[in-house]
Amino acid sequence: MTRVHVPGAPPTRRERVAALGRAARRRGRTLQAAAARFVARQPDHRLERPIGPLAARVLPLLLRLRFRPEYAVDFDGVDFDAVIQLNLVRDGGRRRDEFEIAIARRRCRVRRRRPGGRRPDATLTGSLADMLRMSAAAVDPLELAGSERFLTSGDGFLLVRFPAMFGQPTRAVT
Amino acid sequence: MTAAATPAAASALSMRAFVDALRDAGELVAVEREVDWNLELGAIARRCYETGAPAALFTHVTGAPGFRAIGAPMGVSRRPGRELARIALALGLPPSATAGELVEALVAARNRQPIAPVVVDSGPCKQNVWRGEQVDLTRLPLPVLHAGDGGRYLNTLGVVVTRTPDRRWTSWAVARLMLVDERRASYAVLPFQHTGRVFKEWRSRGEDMPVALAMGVPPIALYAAGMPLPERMDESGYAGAFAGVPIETVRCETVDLEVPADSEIVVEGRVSLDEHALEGPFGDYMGYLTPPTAAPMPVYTVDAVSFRDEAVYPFSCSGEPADETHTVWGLATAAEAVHLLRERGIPVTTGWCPFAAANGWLVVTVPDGWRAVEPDARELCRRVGDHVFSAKLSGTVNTVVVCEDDVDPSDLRELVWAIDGRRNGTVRFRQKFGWAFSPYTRPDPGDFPKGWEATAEVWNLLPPVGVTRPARTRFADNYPAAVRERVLRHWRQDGLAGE
Repeated sequence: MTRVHVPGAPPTRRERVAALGRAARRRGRTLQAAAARFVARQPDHRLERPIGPLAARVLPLLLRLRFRPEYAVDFDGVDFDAVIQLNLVRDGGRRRDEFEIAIARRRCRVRRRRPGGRRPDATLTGSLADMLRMSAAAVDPLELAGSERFLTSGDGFLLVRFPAMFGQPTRAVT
Repeated sequence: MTAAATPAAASALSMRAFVDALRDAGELVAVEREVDWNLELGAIARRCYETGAPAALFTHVTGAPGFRAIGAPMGVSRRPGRELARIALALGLPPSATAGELVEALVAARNRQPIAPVVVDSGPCKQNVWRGEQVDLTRLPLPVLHAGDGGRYLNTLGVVVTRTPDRRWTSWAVARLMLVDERRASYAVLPFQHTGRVFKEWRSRGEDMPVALAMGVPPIALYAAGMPLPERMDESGYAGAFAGVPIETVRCETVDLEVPADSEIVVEGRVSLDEHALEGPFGDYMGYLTPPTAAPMPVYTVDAVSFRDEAVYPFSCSGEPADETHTVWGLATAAEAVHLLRERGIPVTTGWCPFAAANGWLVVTVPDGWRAVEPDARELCRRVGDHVFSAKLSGTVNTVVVCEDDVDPSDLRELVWAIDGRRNGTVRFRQKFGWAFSPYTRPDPGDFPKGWEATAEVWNLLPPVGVTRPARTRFADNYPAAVRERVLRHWRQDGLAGE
């Protein structure tokens, strides 16, 4: 049923509760945005230093844990059967870790890329610092691609799905 | 399906004949001074749209000797009573044709059997051919259309031809291609568009997609390519049905595709499965640079270019209405909606996408006897919405207005009057793939499918049960014939006629 607002009438109990909910959500967004702005301001080396060496070891596990199978479907709703190559660059480009993410039947397997593996359907190359910024919603993934901080090749639609498929924010909150 | 039509007028079947027809109708001006491709071409065309000035034929574009360019070829004219003249000529109709006549011409062709194109040995587009290393796209008069665009645009008003690997479906579409360098362009291939569906089939085979881009095509080919026909229906067959004769095509030099033989410029190449380059931003049909950032898109590598002597390169400087993104795409969308709704048993007098709404509105008018089909106005609106929003034509349409046919949907003043006075409720729909071009809707492309959804509405302007439409008080309806006749007889001598 459509609610009709009477001009000048005091808010109903239901409207007061809804207003409290809106205020709480607004406060949550403010905190998240403050954190995102903090991350956005940090230079690459400050973001990478604490976790850089660890990242290569824990990333496969993290990606598997964060994988959301409901997003592993193509434009027609058919399960993906695809390989994404993820190249993580750090230390100003001096170090590079390559991963292979295989998605099939709504399951995901992540491992270091080996020579002679299946030809990737899509490849994403970016710095570890930018990946962390994306995870903190400090930068929009599409902006990273549009400014060529993320370099892409292959199936563009598959890559557009990448953040959501691994539980990452799909846009910035700053 | 009805019988084939008599052949359409030449202006619908040839760009050169169309240019001549525009000139004869006083709807074309030749600009003979040197004009810069960098913003100046776009700025002139944009002002033509915004002032209703004639189309501009540029004979001397900086750095593009031997080529001409035409801007605003299907813009709206400022001449009273002939606002749609250029669009009418593009469809081979008299310049005085009404909006309803334009729609019905397109709908009639939809009701006829498609006529497949016929391949001929050669055509005017083969007069000059560049191959391989000879190809240099920067020698074409490709414009930077808006300040803020990502680069020079290879295509805004040409037909992109693709074919599925099994050769069963040949798609004609109008799509954005932005120049990357002398031999490459970035191609906005989107998964929900027909070209995207074809590309998916090439991707599953692991092969690059052959693509031909035909520019300066017969105007009816442009309407066919812009029409939201059902998937796997060849636009070339529809163009033939409209023309009443098969569209003549020629084989490309380097790819297994055919293009209209009468094209001015043909670009041939392959779209890479792997390589990306940035495309956009671009000032598109909503009137903004949206999306405001570039996006990586597949790279189109060109292997050959063929063109006529003194070839005419057509472009559309899209933006605030009305330009070809509205007068071609919007008109074709309205015609497809009328065809679809009639096919599904809805009584429809006509349909129109008001240019001012930038393809977002579709107005459908129904005759007085509509209650014989569906007595409940709201239910009729729901049925209209169900059909429209589940079809391809819903790509841009987010609001459907259903009203009685005493209202002329192409008269914006009358339409707004009716919307305010007759609106009798709204039926809401959730669109699976809303076209996310409004800067205020904040679509979230990464969150598919939720972030791609949009709200769509049908506005019910029909009377509820028991209410009949009151008599209108305008000049044509209210006054006795004798009074109207006397007023009209004295109109000029009373000094009210103006110039």
